[in-house]
Formats: sequence, structure tokens, C-alpha cells
Amino acid sequence: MGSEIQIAMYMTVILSLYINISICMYGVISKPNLIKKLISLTILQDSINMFLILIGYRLWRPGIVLQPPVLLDWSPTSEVLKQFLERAVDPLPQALVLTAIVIGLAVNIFLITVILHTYRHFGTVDMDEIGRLKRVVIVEETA
Amino acid sequence: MILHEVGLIPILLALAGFITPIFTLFTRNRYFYSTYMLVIAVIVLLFSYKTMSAVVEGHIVVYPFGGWPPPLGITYTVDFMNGVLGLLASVLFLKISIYSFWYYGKITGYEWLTTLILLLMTGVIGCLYTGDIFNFFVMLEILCVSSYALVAFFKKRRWAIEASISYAFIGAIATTFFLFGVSFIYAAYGTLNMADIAAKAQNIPLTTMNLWSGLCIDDICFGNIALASVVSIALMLWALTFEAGLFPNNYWLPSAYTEAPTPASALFAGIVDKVGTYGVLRVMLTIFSSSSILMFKVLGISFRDLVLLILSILGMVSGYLGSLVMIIQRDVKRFLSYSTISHIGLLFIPFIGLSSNYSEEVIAKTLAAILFHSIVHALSESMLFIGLGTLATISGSRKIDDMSGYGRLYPIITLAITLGLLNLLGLAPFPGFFSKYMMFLPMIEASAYLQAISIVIISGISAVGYFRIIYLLFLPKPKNIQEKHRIVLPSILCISVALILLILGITYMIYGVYDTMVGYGKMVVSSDGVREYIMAVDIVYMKLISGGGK
Repeated sequence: MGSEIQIAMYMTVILSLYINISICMYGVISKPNLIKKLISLTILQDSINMFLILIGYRLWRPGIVLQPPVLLDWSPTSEVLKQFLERAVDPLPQALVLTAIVIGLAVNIFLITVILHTYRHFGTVDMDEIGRLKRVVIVEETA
Repeated sequence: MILHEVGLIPILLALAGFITPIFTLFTRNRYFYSTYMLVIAVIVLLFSYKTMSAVVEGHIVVYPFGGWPPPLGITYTVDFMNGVLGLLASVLFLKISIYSFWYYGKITGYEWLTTLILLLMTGVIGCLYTGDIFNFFVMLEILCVSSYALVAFFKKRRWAIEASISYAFIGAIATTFFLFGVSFIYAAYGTLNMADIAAKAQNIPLTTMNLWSGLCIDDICFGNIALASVVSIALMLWALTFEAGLFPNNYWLPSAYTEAPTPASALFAGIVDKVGTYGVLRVMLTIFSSSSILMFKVLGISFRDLVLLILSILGMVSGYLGSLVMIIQRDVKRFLSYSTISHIGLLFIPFIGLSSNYSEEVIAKTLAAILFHSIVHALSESMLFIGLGTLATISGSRKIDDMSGYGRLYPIITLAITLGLLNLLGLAPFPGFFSKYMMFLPMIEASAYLQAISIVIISGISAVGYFRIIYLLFLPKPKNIQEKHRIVLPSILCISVALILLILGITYMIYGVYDTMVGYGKMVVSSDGVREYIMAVDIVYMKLISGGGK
């Protein structure tokens, strides 16, 4: 009974992550305001990082004592090590997500800087207005 | 074969890029930064040449970072396909660093431009040489972030900022989705090493790598690898074709290439779009080759061939689009950007010849044609960006009308530009002709007549645009006579690249370049070649524990 609820909750988490990703895609592509685009983008990055962490997740099985997987002995026996490995989650996705978060930080800071410069140049952060200005320039340029 | 130079190249470039800002505390002499970049470029060229010569001898060069055996640590793996592109990248980098001696006199803030170009090269060479799919993502992000910053380099120009923002937003989504695809691969395969993924996708037995990454039973490893491969192919190809500038993702390319500083534009057109093409080739040829998990039938043909067919059709669309829109452009750099789009289309058109229902001979010929056209296009397009960018800098405007008649004022650089344009057009003694011919032949052999004819028609349409530029440069009288600028260095650089192209074309006729390229192409695409790629990575653990590096 308990495990069924757990599986249903797991599925709900995955489904909500997918919905989150699709809403963020909509936000980045169709909202003209650059700040709204940026907020959608950060949520998109976080949802995908969350999904990657979820891959390393391990469902609690009955019979495992609920305590954090920490090795307390300096010289563990093979039995203790086996128990540790049964409880521990996969650490690699967390390392990947750490890398991805740092890269995302660089991209977001760059985008914020460029949005600031856009506001200084055009006096607006609305991409539709800027696109209208650009169309005039492009038509003038081409023969 | 383990070669330490492969691992040194990206580390050297990244280190050089990050310590450049420290030099600004001591000196702001522009010759210092140009020389610094030139020294780095020469070292990188030597290292990549050494790698390439080992590859040509028939080895597959592997470098395990930190001495970790393959599926645990990051591995750099170089076979013919990425060896030749890595050498091309370092040649272009050398060209840019020679050009910087002249260009840095015309701009301010060159120390930051040096930093950004070094970081861009880190990303490019890392993407090309890496044998680990997550490391590919990291290097792709380094490449992308530095190219967004290069596009926005002239932050006083409003359209540079606009180009950068429209490139950066969708680029950030595309690379994030690449990470999403990688997460699916890790969830199903339990590994991130390209050779290990390839072995599992094609059910090739391994000796050491599956000690860590587990065994597969049919298509179940940690998850269902067939489903995960399809989803991750969809997500990863979007990011890669975005970087290449293939048709639905090409809207950012003209503005970004136009507004970037000239050396950066030359690098973008030369090698950055080839990185995307290389990624698609690596995914479709080595990881999911013609005996892989992706061969299940969809709509009567196998899924892998369907993807290749769609890529080929998109290539045709972007070829036609680029060559048609190119004709009406007045801005020279925008003209060259559309020319790049049409040539990216030409690079993607032969992808139909990589389908699994053709013989290995045809697939090898197609790959050889794609690689040879990449080399030819990269050399001449970057030379044109440098040449026309130099003329744009001295005339103070990028409009072709303001440059009309410059052929009489600056004959040497204009001659080089003309030769480059004729090469892109595909005139007979130039290698551009032979590369198009090389693409044409396997299309006929594969009875893909539509693609074969499209190559000819796209060249024909773009001829109008190329001849218009040549006409405007030479025939009219110069409008506004002004004092002559000194452009000795760019002239010598451009004319020597043009001569190298001419020599490449002549050697193609005299020596058997075609047979050599096809022979190496067969080493990459054949099932033995893929197996050799996997085994070269698999054997690294044995070499490491036996203590020998050789």
C-alpha cells in the first residue's frame, strides 16, 4: 500500500517537471518582455537540473532503516560497506548538476548584463518593439 | 595510443584565456597581446599537427584525463574525423592571430577580445576532441558563452546588443536541452563515455568498461535504451543544428556574424558552425551507427535513416534560402553570413548518403566529401571575412556601395577576395570545384538525384551574388577618393591563403587526394572502424595498469 503511494508521488513529480519545462518553453518563446523570458529560462534550467538529480534518486525499500547514508567507521567491514551502497543515491548526477548550475550562472549573468545594455540603447525591453525597429533597418539595407 | 598533447591543447588554451586579464595590470601594448596569441596559436598548431600525424599513421589517439580509466574519467578520443577538423581549427586560429597584429590597431579593448577568442578556441577544440558526452556539453557551453560575448563585443552599437540577445536566449535553451538529452542517455545507459554508449547501442562486447558501467540485456541497461536514444537524439540534434545554423535555426546567424568583430566572424564562419556539423556526424556515425539500436522501422524506413533524410531535406532548404537571400544583400558581412548558411546547407545535403541501405563505399565517399568541403569552405570563408572586413573597417561602412571600385585602390586584397569568391562558387582549378564534385558523385551513386541536382542549382544561384560583389569591387570608379590606408599585413595574409587554396586545388589533381580522403573516411565509418574506435578506448585501462603510456 505504502509503496503504491510512493510510486504515484514519484510519477507526479516527473509529470510536474515536464509541465514545468513546457510552460517555460512557452514563456521564453512567446513572451516579448526580456525579463519574463529570463525568469522562464532560469526556471527551465532548474527543472532540467531537478530532473537530472531525480535520475540518481533511489526509492526507499521496506526494511531499510531511515537514516542518512553516512559511514561512521574509519575501517568499515564489507557488510557495512554493502549496507552503505544499498542506501546511498547515485552521486554522479549531483556532480553533473553542480557543473550545470555553475555554467547556468555564467549564462544568466551574461544575459542580465545584455538586457541592461538593451534597456540603455532602446529604452525598452520589449522584443516586439525592437523587432519592429530592426525590420525597418533590414529593409533599408537590402536592395 | 595515448598522446599527452591532446589533453594539453584545451588546458593550455583555457589557462591562457583566464590569465590574460592579469596582464592588463602590467601592459596595454597591443603588440604584446597579438604576440601572445600568436605564440599560443603556434603551440596549439604544433600539438594538433602531432595528433593528426599519429592519426594518419592509423592510430586512434586517446587521452584519459587524470589517469582515470575511461567510463569513470573524461577521455579525449581523436580519430580521422575530429583530427582533421582540430587541425583546421588551429590553422584558422593561427590566421586570426596573424590578422590581430593589424586589427588591434583599429579597436579598443583588444585585451578582452584576446581573452574571448582564446576561450572560444578552448570550446571549439574541446568539443572536437572530446570523447565524453557530458564534457561535450561543457565545452559547447564554453563555446556558446564566449561567442555570445563576442557578438556583443561592440557594446556601443545597439544592433550588436540586439543580435547577441536574440542569439543568446535561444542558444541558452538549446544547450540546456542538450543537457536534458544527456540526462536521458545517462539514465538509460549508465555511462557518459561516447565509446561505451556506442558499444552498448550496437551490442559490442567489451572487456574493461562494463566493469563499471554494467551489462546490457537486449535493450535494457539501466533503462530502456531504445526509448532513451530516440528522445536524446531529438533533443541533442536540436542543439547541434542550432550551433551549425541549419534551416529552422538559422535566423540568429546573419545578425550575429555581421555584428561580431571581424576575427570572431572569421572564426564563427570557419569552425564554429563545423562544430555543430561534427557533432551530428559523431552522433549519427559512431554512436548510433548503421547496426545500432536506432534501426527499428518507422513509416517503412529505419529511424536512423529517417533522421538523415530529414537533415538532408533541411540542408536543401537552407541551401536554397541562403543562396537566394544572399543575392539581395548590400552589407558585405551579412552577404557572407548568408553565403555561410547556403554552404552549411551544402554540407548537410549529402547526409542522405550516410543511410544504412548504401554500401560502406558510398558512406565513406560521402563523409570524405563533407570533410573536404568543410576544409575548403572554412579556409575561404574566413579569408573572405578577413578581406572584406578589412575593407569595411577602412571605409568606415559595411555597405558594398561604399566599397565600389576598391579593386583599383587595393588590388592585392581584392584579388585575394575574388579568388576566394570564385573558390566558393566552385570554379575548376580551385578546391571548391572538387569538393562539390566529391559531394555530387556519391549522390549519383546513391541515386539521390534531387540532392545531386540541388548542389548544382544552389551553386548556380549563388553565382549571381558572388559575381555581383566582384563586379562592384572592380568595375565602377571609386566614389570618394580618400587617403590610402596601410593594409599590407591583411593583403599578404589574404593573398597567401588564396594561393594555398590554389595549391590545394592543383595537388588535388596531381596527387590522389580523393582516394586518400575516401580511405580515411572508410576507417571512420565502417563497422570495423567503429569497433576500433570503441576498442581503442576500452584498452586504455589495460595500458594504465601495465604502467606504460605508449
